[in-house]
Order: sequence, then structure tokens, then C-alpha cells
Amino acid sequence: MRLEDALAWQPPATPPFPDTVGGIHFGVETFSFHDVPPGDPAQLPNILNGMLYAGIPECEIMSGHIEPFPNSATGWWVQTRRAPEFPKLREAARQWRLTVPLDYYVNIRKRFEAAGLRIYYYNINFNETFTDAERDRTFEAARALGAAAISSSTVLSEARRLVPFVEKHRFPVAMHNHNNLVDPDQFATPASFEQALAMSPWFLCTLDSGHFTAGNNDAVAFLKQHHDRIANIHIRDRKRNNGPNRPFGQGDTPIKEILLTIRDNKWPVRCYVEYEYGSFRSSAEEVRACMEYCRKIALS
Amino acid sequence: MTTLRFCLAAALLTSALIAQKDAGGVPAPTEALERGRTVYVLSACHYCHGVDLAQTAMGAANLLHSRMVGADVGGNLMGPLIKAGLPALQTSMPSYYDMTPQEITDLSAYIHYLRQKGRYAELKAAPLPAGDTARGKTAFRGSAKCAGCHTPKSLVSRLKKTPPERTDQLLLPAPHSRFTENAQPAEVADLLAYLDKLR
Repeated sequence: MRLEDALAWQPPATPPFPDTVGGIHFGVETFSFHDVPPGDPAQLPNILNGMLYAGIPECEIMSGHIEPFPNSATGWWVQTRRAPEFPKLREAARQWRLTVPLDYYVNIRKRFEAAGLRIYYYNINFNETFTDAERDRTFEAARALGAAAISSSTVLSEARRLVPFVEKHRFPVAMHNHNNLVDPDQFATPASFEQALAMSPWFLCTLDSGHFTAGNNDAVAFLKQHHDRIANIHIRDRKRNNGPNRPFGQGDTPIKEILLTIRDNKWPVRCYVEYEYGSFRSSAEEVRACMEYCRKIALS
Repeated sequence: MTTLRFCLAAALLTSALIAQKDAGGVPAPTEALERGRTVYVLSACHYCHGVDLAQTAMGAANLLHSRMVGADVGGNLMGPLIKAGLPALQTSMPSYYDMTPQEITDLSAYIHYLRQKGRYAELKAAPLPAGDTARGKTAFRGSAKCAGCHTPKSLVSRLKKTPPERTDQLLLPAPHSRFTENAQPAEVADLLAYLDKLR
């Protein structure tokens, strides 16, 4: 967004946007706002602002955008665990999570609501460095944020550990896939999702259509088979064969077929744009362009 | 409502100011390097490796310290890896199979440029250990490859007067770019001790 546009543009009164476009609930994974540095909750207005600018009413908020430490302190990337300072950073992050009042999350929820927006999913990546107390607290945080489910980039071994927690809290966790086809612990194929879905009725899918396509899977076939267990779909465009991210419409992800299948069947599968291709423009501008691409399809 | 409007307007202004920055980082100083920066940004390399190579998001390799990047010449090592990708990683590096040879050459030049800048800043800021003149002499003739262009005698009259100036003389990327990209603090300290002795 250019400065003059920002100054000229006034946020609308309530409510800013319709709930659906062509009957589809759209949202955004806040990871898309690449110019909002993780680990600095003071940047939250830029997330709200980006959503308002893009005309997107709801989001899956990345934990790194509301917690005061970067994702590297939370153990998801195995490589980051090798850093000498990792145990200290991890313990500090754990203590913060266990001691921050739940009002902290409630206040974040209220900031979204005041802007006419909603946090629909909480994206936090469970892994083996979580303690049980931390797992418990994560569910409490998700409820305080007003989220309907947790979306998690995790692994099958951690999903097994999570079964008693989803049952206890009666709160869904949606597994998010990447496209590592080598490691059998990763979510990357229909079979890996199906293993988790069989573990608990509280397990759902966050189907990342771009990674799924890059792993040479058929996102539309998976959607048709498992739509009742898919919380949301990350809409992004990647080339097959582990190919790169591309602007919407230039990759191999069947975005149009996914959106029209959901629309025409009236399935309550939410579609969240995820901007991850390269650009010299701001993230807010690109997220808006991604949303426009989807809007045209939904209204076609 | 007035408060809400004020907050949103303030947030808008902040965001607009952020958006004024080039989303790809610092522009490169030459046309050729700018071509490389364009490939770097449009291929989204900076999301994982950072606008200055210092970031290692999503488990990415640290390109500032990668030995492979340090040994690369004109994309001869990086190019095949970029085209193949690294699909077995936890969050895989994509395969840029359609990148052209020219794009790989430009991208490689830009990555080396960022690395030289970054390593120079790191080495200048690092507290150097005490140097050893004997090891410095060995490095001069061996690992640092100084002897390929200089003799100790030819350097005596050209060495700068103060230690910080001599450090710059040794580390400023041009013409010592390969050394700057790969040098370790101990090696720098040893070479500086040897150059001090030469004076």
C-alpha cells in the first residue's frame, strides 16, 4: 500500500466485509504478512491492517505473531534445536506460555473483534519439545483467542501424543502438511493424513494445497474424499515435483477446481489464502491480489 | 468509534511506512547485481534466508556461513542444488528447475555479494584473538592465498599505518572477496600479526 492510499483510505464502519464470497468463507494465514516480523506482538496492528486492506474477515493467526519470541525458540524446526542457546530460549518461551494470563489472549481477540475481524484458527506447531503442561496451556490459549480449532504443522509421532489432550479439552487440532515425502513421520500424503484422522475424531486437516501439489498429490481428490474432516485449505500455488511457489494462477495447484468444488457442494471448508511467492510489493498488496484472484473464481 | 478510527488510522500509517521499504531489502550497487537481487527476491529466497543471508527461517541453511556457498564459483556448486531443491528437509527447499543459466549466474553473484558484506561486518565486529605471526606467515603462503598476488617485500610500503586501516585493507571485499567470505577470526588475527611484523 502506498502512503497516499493509506491516508486517503478510511476503514469502513461495521461490519467491514461480508462473511462469505460466493458462499465460500475466505481467510488468511497470517504467515502471509512476511513484512511483519515474528516475535513482536507490537506489530499486531499491521496484521489487522493487512486484513482490512485485503478485504479478508478472518484469519489463522501464527503463534509467532502474538508471542514475544520467534518461532525458532519453540522447537518446531529440528535444525534450530542444535543451536547452543536453544535450551535456554526454549525454556524462556515455555515459562512465558505457562505464566502469561489468559487475558492476554482475550485482549488480542478483542482487538480483532473491534476491527470487525475474527481469529478462526490458532496456528501453533506442536512438537516433542512441548511439555504436557505446555500442551494443556495451548488449548486454553486457543479458546481464549476465540479460535474454533488449532492448526498445527506437526508430525505423526506428536499427533499420537496429542490424542489425550484433544479428548480432554474436546477441542480440534487440524494437521497441516508440507511435502517432505521421504520422512514417514511428516504430513505430506493422503495416507499420512488418514493415519492421524483415524487416531481421534478431534483431529482434522489443514490441507495446504500448494505443498500437497508440490508433493504430486491430488488436492481435489483428497477434498472430495475427506471434506468433512478438513477444517481449512491453504490456498497457494506451487509447481509439481517440489516446484517453487508461483503467483496465483501460474503454478500447478488446482485452485479453481478446489474453490468451485467447495462452492458448488456448499461444504463448510474454509479457504485461507497464503502468500509465499516472491515480490517487490508489500505483503498486504500481494495478499489482496491473491484474494482478488480467489474472489473472481468464487463469483464466476 | 472515534478511538477505533484513530487506532486504525495510526495502524494504517505505520503499515504504509513499512510498505515504503523495498520488500526485497537493500538495492544492489550494480546493474548485474540488481539482476541477481531480482532473481533472489522473486524466487522468494529471502523468506527463508533473509534479505541479508543472516536469517535461517524454517530450518534454512545459514548462507553466511555455509561452506558450500564459500567454495562456490559463479554458481558451479549452488546452481545444481538450486535446480534440484532439497525435498527431504523438514520444510523442503523447492526445486527451481526452470531457472536459466544466466539467472543462476546472477543469483550466485548476488549471494556472494551479500555474503561478502555480511562476513566483513561480522569480522570487523568480532573481538579478534591474539594473532600468531608464524601462523600468519603460513596462512599468507597457504590457506589465505595472499602469495598468489603479493610478496611480503612488495607489501611493506603499501601497508596502511593504523591497525583498523590494515584490517580494512585485508577484509574489504574487493579485491579480497574470497578471503573475506571464508576467513575465520583466528586466521584474520594471525595475518594481521604477520603484517604488523612486516612493517
